[in-house]
Amino acid sequence: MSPKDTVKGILADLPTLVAVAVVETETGMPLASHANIADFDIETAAAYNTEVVKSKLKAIQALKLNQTLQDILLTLTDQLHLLKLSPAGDKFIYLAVNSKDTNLAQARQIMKAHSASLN
Amino acid sequence: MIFSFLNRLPIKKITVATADVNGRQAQTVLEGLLADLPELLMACVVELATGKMLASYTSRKEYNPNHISLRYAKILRTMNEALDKGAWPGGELLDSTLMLDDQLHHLRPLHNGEWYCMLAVRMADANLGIAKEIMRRHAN
Repeated sequence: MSPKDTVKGILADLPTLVAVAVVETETGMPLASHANIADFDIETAAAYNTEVVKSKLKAIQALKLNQTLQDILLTLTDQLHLLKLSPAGDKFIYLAVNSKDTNLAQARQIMKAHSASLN
Repeated sequence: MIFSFLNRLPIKKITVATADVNGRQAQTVLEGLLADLPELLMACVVELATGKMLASYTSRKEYNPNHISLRYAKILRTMNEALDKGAWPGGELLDSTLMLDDQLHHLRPLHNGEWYCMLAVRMADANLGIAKEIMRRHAN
């Protein structure tokens, strides 16, 4: 599935989301994105998310745990932000939702379902 | 000269870096986490600006808190920068979690965001909901 189809699919499952993007891990730039709020700068958000993903991968490597990174979850006061790497690790899905209308389990399941087919 | 016996990581024991009020406060946080979650793989309280360890605990030598304290401090600083610049709307950071294959690492800022507390636990021993609640209860 293309990044654009992944974004469309997540949006169809979760129409109330704040923002969703498929980001290239190497450059930190979005390949496809959608935001439901006007002042959301998806390019800047994607760039910071990439730094977080790369740093977390390094932290896990430092411990030599022999584990793969599945998800990164951030709880903010009003929103949940989730990051999930594609099976190959070259892209990741970034999903931001309002915690009032979507809980962590719902957001994780939707992202999991769509990340498996992302290539 | 490096004396290996001096650098040995204390296992299943809370280590406090400084014997001051901060060290005691950090120790209390870890004692609370351990009381509620004795299966903890690793936990630590770290000063965010410097990455300095205030107190730590590990259940085995492979899980060395000193190997990740600086890296996690850097990640949280990146997150704070993203929030300050408005890249992530949605309020301040309450916590962050890394889900690995069979374990999770949970981080929560404390002490007005000057420190953070991190715990690692196997998902067979605790789920994310429990880890979040225990951390929220003790790291406030």
